[in-house]
Amino acid sequence: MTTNLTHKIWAPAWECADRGDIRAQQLARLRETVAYTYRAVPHYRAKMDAVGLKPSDIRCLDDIRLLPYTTKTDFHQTYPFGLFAVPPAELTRIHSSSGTTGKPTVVGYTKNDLETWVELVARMVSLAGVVASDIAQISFGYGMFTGGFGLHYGLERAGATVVPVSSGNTDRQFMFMEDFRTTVFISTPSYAAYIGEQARLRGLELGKQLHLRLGLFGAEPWTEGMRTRIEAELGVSATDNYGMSELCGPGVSGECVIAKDGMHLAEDLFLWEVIDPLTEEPVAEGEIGELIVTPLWKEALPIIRYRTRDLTAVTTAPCACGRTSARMARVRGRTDDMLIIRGVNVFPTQIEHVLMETEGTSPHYLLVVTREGALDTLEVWVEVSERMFSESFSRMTVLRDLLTKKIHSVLGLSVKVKLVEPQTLERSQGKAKRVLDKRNLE
Amino acid sequence: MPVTQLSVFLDNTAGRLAEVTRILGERDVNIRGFSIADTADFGILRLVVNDEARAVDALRAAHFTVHEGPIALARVPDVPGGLARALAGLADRGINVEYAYAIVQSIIAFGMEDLDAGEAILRDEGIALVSADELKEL
Repeated sequence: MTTNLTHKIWAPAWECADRGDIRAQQLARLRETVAYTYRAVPHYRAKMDAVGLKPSDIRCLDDIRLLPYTTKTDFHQTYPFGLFAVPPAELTRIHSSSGTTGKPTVVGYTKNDLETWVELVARMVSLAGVVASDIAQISFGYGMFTGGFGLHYGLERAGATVVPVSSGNTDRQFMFMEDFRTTVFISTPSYAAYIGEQARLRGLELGKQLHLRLGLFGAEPWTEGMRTRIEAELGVSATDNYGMSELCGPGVSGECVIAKDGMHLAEDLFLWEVIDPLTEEPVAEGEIGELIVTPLWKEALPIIRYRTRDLTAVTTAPCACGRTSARMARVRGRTDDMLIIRGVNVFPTQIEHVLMETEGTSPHYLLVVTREGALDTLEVWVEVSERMFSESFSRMTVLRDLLTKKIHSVLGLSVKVKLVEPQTLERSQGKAKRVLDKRNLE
Repeated sequence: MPVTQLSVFLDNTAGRLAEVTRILGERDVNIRGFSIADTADFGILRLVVNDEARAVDALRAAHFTVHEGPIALARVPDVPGGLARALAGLADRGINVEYAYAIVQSIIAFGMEDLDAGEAILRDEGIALVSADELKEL
């Protein structure tokens, strides 16, 4: 049997459509979605009424900006089913995402919703190179998390043989991988990195025990460096994909295995915007901002302008794979962590990177933003550890100046580095507090 | 016979120096001399104490960053030109004094990069050095 590994475009009618046709389709579906949501979800009707907006006011795609956003708060306020357009008894399935605080976010699907979702995931796995002859091992957790079931049915639809091994149990992962000659591995990137490390430690050889050729890694942000490492260790071509339960789960966008240059958005079914998270103005194409997504197909849980809090950039430039769909860059971070200082986006991770690569500095730091007059000032407070402390005044000053210079070159922004005593900075369980924005307090 | 000096990192917030002295006092540590170098943001407090081990314990327990390093303690003659003679001796032989401050009994604490050479020169100049044991009894 010859294996046909030709990369397949699952829905060419839309993935390769003329961009004008895509926009026409988006507008038609947007108007339907808004009218349906207004009619069926009192929470949305109240929000639109509050700003004096009727569904008939949406005449062109740009009119989407008239509509109020949906945020995580809307889910919390209406827990569990307040945002639903159909009664719970009419749902076919319910999923939920873990709430970091309080109640989880509940999402649901009608029969039609599940059908569209399955098609979306089939499209996404085809982008990643999966074909009918593949054996796909899913190491996402099954259960309330949308990742496991989402990939499961989408891969089946694409014709692949699905091995629903679920998460954990590394020994069993390797046993099935070897015995079933698994060709596609699906997990979070961090688990893939762990599996890769374990494969190396256990002396597993590519082509002998490991027959993987593709890796589909999503559900958390990762870097190009991690991709290179995972690809080498597992012998796969690895792609990123994107989704979140509020929008349906996986299937919103995914990289093509050909170019691996941004994740193709399923634009006939999702309307995307990228905005400046502070001013809420749209950013220019290709600029980084917060991704806002409006699904254009959902019956059970229609969502208007969901604020993903994910920072990315979207381009509509054609891709080498032949698709015309817009592509979103790797998620750069979360708006919750981002600071905008004098128009420059600053992520705590950038500062952390400088500190980690500078000899003798401690990883404990705090970014303090103040406003003097109209000017924002960023101070980077770094705790002085015994290892970096020297009795020599000049050496301390040199270290401070070196950090100032390095951070300036990374951010393109002059900052003030302040050396502080250890334990000055607040410690919290798990997540460290990295930002103190005093601008909001005035 | 260098003695140990303690350097403490302080950020320039009110009460930090008071805090250090309070902690040392409570632990019966006697400060025999000190100097402070500071910028607008941070300072380094240099201390000569009678019981350096106890001082370090107490300060670290209170989360201060403490550095222990050697300095020379010299009994520079308390006469006009006494200090000038000591410094000229060091300068003539190319020894760089990074910092210096007076402690009790007009003893001068010298921070020098090449401490051994510096001490030898001070001795050559007829200046008595204070040992760690003597420091305890000052």
